[in-house]
This record gives sequence, C-alpha cells and structure tokens, in this order.
Amino acid sequence: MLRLSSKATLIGESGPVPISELSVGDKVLCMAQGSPQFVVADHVSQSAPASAVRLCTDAGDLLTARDTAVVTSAGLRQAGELADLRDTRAIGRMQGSWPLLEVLSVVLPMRGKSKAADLAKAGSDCRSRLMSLSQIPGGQSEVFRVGSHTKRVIDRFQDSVIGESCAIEPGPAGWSWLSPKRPPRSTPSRDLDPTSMVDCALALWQPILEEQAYRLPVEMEELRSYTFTLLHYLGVPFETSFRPRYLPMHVELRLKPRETPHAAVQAVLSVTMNNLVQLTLKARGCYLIASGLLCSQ
Amino acid sequence: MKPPKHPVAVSRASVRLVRELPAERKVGKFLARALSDESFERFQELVLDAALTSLENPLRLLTLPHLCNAVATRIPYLEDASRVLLEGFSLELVSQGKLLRLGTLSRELEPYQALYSSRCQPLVLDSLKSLYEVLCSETAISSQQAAHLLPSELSARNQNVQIALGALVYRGFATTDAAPGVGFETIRLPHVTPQL
Repeated sequence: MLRLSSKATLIGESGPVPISELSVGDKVLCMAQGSPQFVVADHVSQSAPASAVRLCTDAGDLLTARDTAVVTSAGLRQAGELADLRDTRAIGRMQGSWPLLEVLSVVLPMRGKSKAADLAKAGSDCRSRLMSLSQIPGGQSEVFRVGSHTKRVIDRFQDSVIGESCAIEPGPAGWSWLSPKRPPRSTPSRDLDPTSMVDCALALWQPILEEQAYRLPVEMEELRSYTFTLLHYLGVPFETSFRPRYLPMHVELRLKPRETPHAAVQAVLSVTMNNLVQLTLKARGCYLIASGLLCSQ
Repeated sequence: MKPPKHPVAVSRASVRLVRELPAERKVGKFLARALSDESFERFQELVLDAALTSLENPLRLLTLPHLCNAVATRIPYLEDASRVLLEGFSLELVSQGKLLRLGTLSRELEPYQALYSSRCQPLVLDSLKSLYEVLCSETAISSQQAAHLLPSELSARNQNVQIALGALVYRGFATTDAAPGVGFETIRLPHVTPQL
C-alpha cells in the first residue's frame, strides 16, 4: 500500500506536483523495468492517521506510512522495517545498518512535442509553485518570504518569479521578505529556464554564505520536498545533510554529486501522521518516484 | 560495593563498579553499563514517566537540558554517573515519537528546539495555527495579547508564550523589531509599519 505524506512531491507530466493536488486519472512518473514511465493514478484518497516513518537521507527525505515499501539495494523494505533496523542497543544515538535507497537517476521521458515545449511548461509551472510556496499573508499587499541572500539572488527571484520590483525587508533568523511595488504579473515576462528554476527555488532557502550551501528548518516540508523533486527532475546533482543527526533541526543542501548514486540513510524517525495520502497506481510492478526516492505499492 | 540501581556512564563511575556490571549499551555520547539489559529498559520507563510529568503538569515546552534537569529532580537518589545518561534516554523518546519538537527562536534570536509531550500535540499545533490567524488579521501581536489568545494550559507559563511567538518568527511568518536579547515583546507581519 502506498501511503505518503500529503506534503510529498511526485513528478507529473509537467514537472513536480504535490501529491495533495493529484486526482484520479493524473499520470505520475514511475520506474518500470528500469525505465521511467508515466503511470495513471487509479485511486487517490486521504488515509486515516497512522504510524509513519521519516527517512532522512543524503538525497533528501521521505515520509511514508510504516507499511509502505521503499526500494533499497537489498530489495523492497517496508518503512517500518527500516525503522526497526535502527540499532536498539544504541540508546539516543542514530545508528543502524540500513541498506542504500534507490534514487531517480535516469533521463526523464519528454511528453510534449519537443524538449523545449516541455521545459517551457515546466518553467511556467515552477514559477507559479515558487510564488505559492514563498507567499505569506501580508498587511495590505502580497508578501514573499525568501532567504537572506545577496542582492543578485533576490533580484533574480523578483525578476523571474514575481515579475515586478519589490521592497525588501530583511529579518531575523535568515529570512527576508519581498513586497512587490505593483501587483505581481500573472504571466511571466520570459520563460524560466532550468538554471533559473534551480536558482529561484534555492532563493527560498537560507544561504550558508561561507560554503555555497543552503539551509531550511526541518519543519518546512512542503518547500523542501518540492526543491528536492525539482532538482531530481532537472538532473541537478545535490547532497543533503540532516543536522544534528539524532534530532534533525534543519537540513543543509549542497549542489554537488553524492558519493554513491544511491541514497544513504542518515536518520530514521518514527512519527504519527494525520495527513497521509493513499495512492494506487493503475499499473503493477512499477515503482513510484516520490521526492526522488522509489516506493512500491 | 552496592550495585547501582540505574545504568551508569562508564566514564563517570569507578573502575571497580563498572567491572561488576555486565550489561553494556551506548547511551547518547556515553558508554553505559548496568546490572542487566532490563535495567536499561526500566530506566527508560522511569525517564518517560518523569518526562511526561515534567511536560504535562502543567503543559511545558522545554529545551533538552531543561528537560533533563526536570527529569533528574523526579528520580530519587539519582547518581551523577546515571544523571549524565538522561540526555540519551530523552533523545530516545524523541525517536520513538513519545516526545515531540518545536523549532523556535531564543531571546537572542538563535534557533533551538523545545520538547513537548506527544499527547499535547493537537493543543500546541492548533494554538500556533490560531495565533497565526489572529496575527494575519491584526498584523501585530504583543506577548500580552498572545497570552490571552493561547489556551490557558499553554499560556500559564510566559516561556511557552515566548516559544510560540518565536516559532512563528523561526518559520518566517512574522518578524520582530526587538534587538537580540530582549525577547518577543511584539511580533508583526513583514512589511507592516511598526506601531510606535
């Protein structure tokens, strides 16, 4: 049974899509016999509260119900089994003998008339998602939350995503807020190319200026899941680190290749989830790609 | 020598005592020994009971060191060699989902995590949601207003109110005009003119 956090992000035909927006009949990216394929969602529903497991890896994280299977280098393993692999003799320590997890690592099939058409659609979709992920309620006007980046990064975000020049208010805790001087454009001034998509998604993270890395509080699951899936979708190599290991408080992201093509488990946390989405795929024998990791029904 | 009732950290106990304790486990950053494996399990139960009492009566959100201190006062005759293991046992409760964490900011505007009982999760999360909804409509909230808005279980301690306000700033939903070290007198929505 596939039950994932309602904030998980899958890959639809026009790019990353939150599972909460998925409807019956939509197609999502899966791996079938080693090849990427879009498979129809046969059933999508809210699941009752259940015990769940958050798998934190160096290729992002995934939150699934305990009975959802994950594809590992040692075959299919339920998330609950992976949680049980934690060394119970090491109290208050995050150590265990976990297998590596399979990660999306192939070139994706293109659905549109051309790669350019696909990327244009993905760019437009990415722009509206970044607007929605960064927008917070303001007083009189719309306000967008970004990390406290350099002016160059913030200018790029306001040009590419908001489409209007903004007043900037720097704040504490690594955040700044943008308030457009005029209402944001409903249509982009130009297409968001893959490099801009990555730059603008990372503009929503907090910069770690000394080392070309990015940080996000662990609570911000929706933005994190979208960013990881976008990077996997665009084939941009990245490495994540959940810190501190035992009590992850934030996740750090670096744009560099991981040591292995698989994902190494860093922490496994048991949680009770109220917001799980149950998904059934029309095809059997295929593996769903969720936040870049492979799951099975 | 009388054997200890609870597990002890090897580095904090005498060599002679440690030799008499056959069961060994890693606990947090310590190597610990006890009379038997059951000793570790019994101590974990004791820590859980003490942690829940500390966090629920009244409802409190505590940092890990504060929780360890609170737990220590509730376990009679706790030797220093066992006391240092409380951090590891408390972290274990977090991994089991029995204690939960809330990211927030300190008075110095540094991020930290406050721990609370999983049984209080609906109350804590609903309170934060309500506080945020009021912030969105009012554009600013003082700590006194927040104390009135939060449920009495949560607002009984000023520290809880500060943690709730800090949690909204930590997530970037609100900002503060106070300098580091002052605490959250008032938080407001970004790009809203501060009311002087």
